[in-house]
Amino acid sequence: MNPRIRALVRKEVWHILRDWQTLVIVLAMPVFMMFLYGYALDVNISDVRVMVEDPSPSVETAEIIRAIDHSSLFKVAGVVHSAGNPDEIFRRYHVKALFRFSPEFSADLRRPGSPASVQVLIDGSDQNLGTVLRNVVEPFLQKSALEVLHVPVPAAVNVRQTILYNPQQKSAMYFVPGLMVTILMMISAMLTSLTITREKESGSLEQMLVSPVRPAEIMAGKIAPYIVLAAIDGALILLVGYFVFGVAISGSLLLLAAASLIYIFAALALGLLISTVANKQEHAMLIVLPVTVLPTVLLSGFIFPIASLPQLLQYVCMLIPATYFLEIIRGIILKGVGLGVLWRPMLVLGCMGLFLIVVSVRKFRVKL
Amino acid sequence: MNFIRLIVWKEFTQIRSDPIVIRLIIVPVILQMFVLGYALTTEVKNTTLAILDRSNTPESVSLVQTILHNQLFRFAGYAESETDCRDRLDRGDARLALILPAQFARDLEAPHGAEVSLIIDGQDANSSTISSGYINSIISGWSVSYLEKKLEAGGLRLRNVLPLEVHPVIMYNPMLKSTWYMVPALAVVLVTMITALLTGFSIVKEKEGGTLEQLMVTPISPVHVVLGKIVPYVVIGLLELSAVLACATLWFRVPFKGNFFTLLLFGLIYMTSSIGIGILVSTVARNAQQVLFILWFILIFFLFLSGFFLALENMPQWVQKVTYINPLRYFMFVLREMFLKGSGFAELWPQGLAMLAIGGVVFGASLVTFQRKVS
Amino acid sequence: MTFSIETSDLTKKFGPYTAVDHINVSVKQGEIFGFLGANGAGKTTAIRMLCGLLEPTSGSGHVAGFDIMKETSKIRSRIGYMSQKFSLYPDLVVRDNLKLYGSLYGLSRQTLDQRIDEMSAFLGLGGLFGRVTGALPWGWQQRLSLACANLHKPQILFLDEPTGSVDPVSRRNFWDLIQLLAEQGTTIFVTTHHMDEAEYCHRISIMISGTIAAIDSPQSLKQQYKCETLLDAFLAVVEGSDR
Repeated sequence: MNPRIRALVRKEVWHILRDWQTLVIVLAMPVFMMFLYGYALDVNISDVRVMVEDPSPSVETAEIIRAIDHSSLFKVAGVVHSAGNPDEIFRRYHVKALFRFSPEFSADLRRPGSPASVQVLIDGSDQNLGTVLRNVVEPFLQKSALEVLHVPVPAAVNVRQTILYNPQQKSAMYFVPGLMVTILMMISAMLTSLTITREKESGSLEQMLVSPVRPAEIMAGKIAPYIVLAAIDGALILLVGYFVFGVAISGSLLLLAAASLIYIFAALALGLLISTVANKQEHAMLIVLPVTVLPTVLLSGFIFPIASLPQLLQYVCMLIPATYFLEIIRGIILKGVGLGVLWRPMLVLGCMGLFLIVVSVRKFRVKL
Repeated sequence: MNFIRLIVWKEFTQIRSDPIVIRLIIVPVILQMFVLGYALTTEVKNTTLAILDRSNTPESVSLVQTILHNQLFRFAGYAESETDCRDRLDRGDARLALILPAQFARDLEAPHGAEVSLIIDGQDANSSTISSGYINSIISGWSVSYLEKKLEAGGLRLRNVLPLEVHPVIMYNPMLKSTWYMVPALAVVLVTMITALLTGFSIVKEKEGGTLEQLMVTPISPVHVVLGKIVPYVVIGLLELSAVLACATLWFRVPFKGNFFTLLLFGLIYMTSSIGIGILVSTVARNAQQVLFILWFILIFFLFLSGFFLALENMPQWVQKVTYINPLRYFMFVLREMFLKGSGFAELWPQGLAMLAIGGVVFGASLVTFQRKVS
Repeated sequence: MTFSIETSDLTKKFGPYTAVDHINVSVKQGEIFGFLGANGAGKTTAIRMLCGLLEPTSGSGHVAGFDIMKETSKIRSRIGYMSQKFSLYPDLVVRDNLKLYGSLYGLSRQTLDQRIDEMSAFLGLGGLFGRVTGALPWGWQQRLSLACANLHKPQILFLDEPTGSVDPVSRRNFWDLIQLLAEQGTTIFVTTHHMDEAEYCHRISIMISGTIAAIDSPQSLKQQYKCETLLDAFLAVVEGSDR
């Protein structure tokens, strides 16, 4: 390697090691997040707090209330005689649903031909929960009522589910790819843009330009250590994923490494680009977040499925490298597919990476 | 007192002198509001669905049509075989595949009913649970109406067979719009980020530039410096809060049933925490980059444990206990309740108290640490 | 006679490393005292202790008659400090930097305006009031820094390497100003590693590895070590301590 580049790389590495606070965070953050995701974030909806309004308590209502409480989905926080203003109930007791039996409930239930009435007020604030509750309360109540009357439940269609790629629905399978995408982008783009901007501010970049070092060498020297850092983090995520959460890579490790490298380059180029427009660190900081990290986390399909987004936003998602990288990673780790299926996103990612590198290098040279 | 006013004057003058920072405070925030407002959806729509109908009877067709009629699913083609179904999932052409067996119509008549198979792409446990849940409820809805028609043909009415009439009523968010839930929560994210980042950053800049040391040689005390510094950011934070409110109500049409001044007051209480964290971080960080990284790390951590994406009630017990010290959790709750339910002090004072306690501790600790680090 | 600055076995340790080792200094009112030494000898640490920015490990010191360990707040209003980096707010205009520091020292509006005019005349800063500080050349920033440190007419001025990267002409002018201030009664405590500037001082001390190896007037030192220039005398002192 060119001795000048080697010297620059050495300087950069020394800088990174001296800045141990950032280094610790860069290495600890992915691990931390994995544990956070793995143990804390569980999607099962259960023990939803509900209240019941029962104006004329009877054996029937008692049984149904017991069924509600016994179900894993609900937890009865209280039974009132009269709800008064239901608003108050929701505001004060923070329940998610209020079951209201009609006053003649048990009579209606026992009498054939006149169905008994139950009104269910559902707190729709959390749209997700609200939808689930709305879909679930009717079949649930019907079933409970039929059981109270000792009538067999009529069946029509049964659904047998088979879950592919992640049969135990382990959340680790879902966030390991997402974390790779996010963390690699963060390290490559954020760190690069901030370090270069800092050197611009302190004047040391100017210093280097006066020396015989060429701009291309400056870039190479700066970027090289971050490639290694990003690679270390990526490996860390995969290792923790495997040893702690049992996430094994079903597909080709080589393909994974190749795709990761392309992605890292693209992210680095992005960081470089940002550093050419920002003259002060605070500017770089305020630009890099909404331009790189936020879209990567929110629009790549990591947390929110792209298909659920409004059409306009979906077009934006297409422009983000993270979207394609995520598809590739999920394909390799979870589905075990290879180039045959993944050639298209690989190609797009490769082109994006190339484009970003060319543009950023050109801008870097011009700005200097 | 005079000292504080002096520092406040200095801070405002500095902010005003850098127009780029002002633009960067406003523009990305507005952008984020719009993008995030739409992106942060917990709905699962347009899920691609492939169908394998081996039965091909009026009944099976009816079921398929009912499902496809629903906006939540996008038709991804008829599959030839089960292997074909799996291939489509492999390729990502479909997220779900529904297989109706050849004897579907016959089984419907039988007492045990018919069985269909649903193959689910389980990569994203969250969405797959939701979309398979949707299909399940559509299918059970179809089953009920099928039963109804069958009984009617036999002279009975379903109403006489099914004992209950259930009337679900959705309150506070009748259209079950995701934006109504997420946009108010966005305020927390944006306010936190701006106040913590900018505060931390302003202190670190003075550390780096040596002006902090210069201030310490003068009669002013560290406490004055900090109190003076935070005033502009409190103001900016409150302005942001109002901006989010305006954006939420005017653009996203999220109703705000609460009281504006109560909102600002809660915002103020909350900012003791966010600004306190900013100050704390600035005492350990040596430059802007570290401030950014450390804050980002802390924020993400707190954000995931705040009920932003995933409801806290669904988390394991021990995690819920940890969230009691998370100020974001309370502010998020307060905002959502104020927007959608119009709750006020009477209902939300426990959250206010919690935020005050946490904020008091954090802010106090930050002042102490700052003083110690400076002398 | 009470000294402006007086220390007795002032020491500062950072863990096992001793930065300042039992130094004894006495500076009279109106004296220009040069605090010399190589980089890393402990000069900045010593000055920071005297200004109340750093707490001494042991020993004692008095500045303007007040104890540096217990009465730092009283010291602060009576001294001015100019750091190596000039420590001005680069994004503020000159006038605002002056207003800020003057107000920090408690000067009322009228007094402040008066002093600003005085200082600007003295230092030739007139006409620069509206300029952004960060855009000024080093020489002007240096003067502005001095102005800010001197607005409240402190008894003692602490100057830490005040002529860092400034051109020789500006340096010469700067020292003319320092001498003027000393004649008016301000005690000047200045650190530098420019030997030619040390000639301007009434007395100098040479600090080596945390201790004071020599303390005397420039002429006496040159005589003592039989050297023509102060630089040679300095080197002689350094060599002497190596033995």
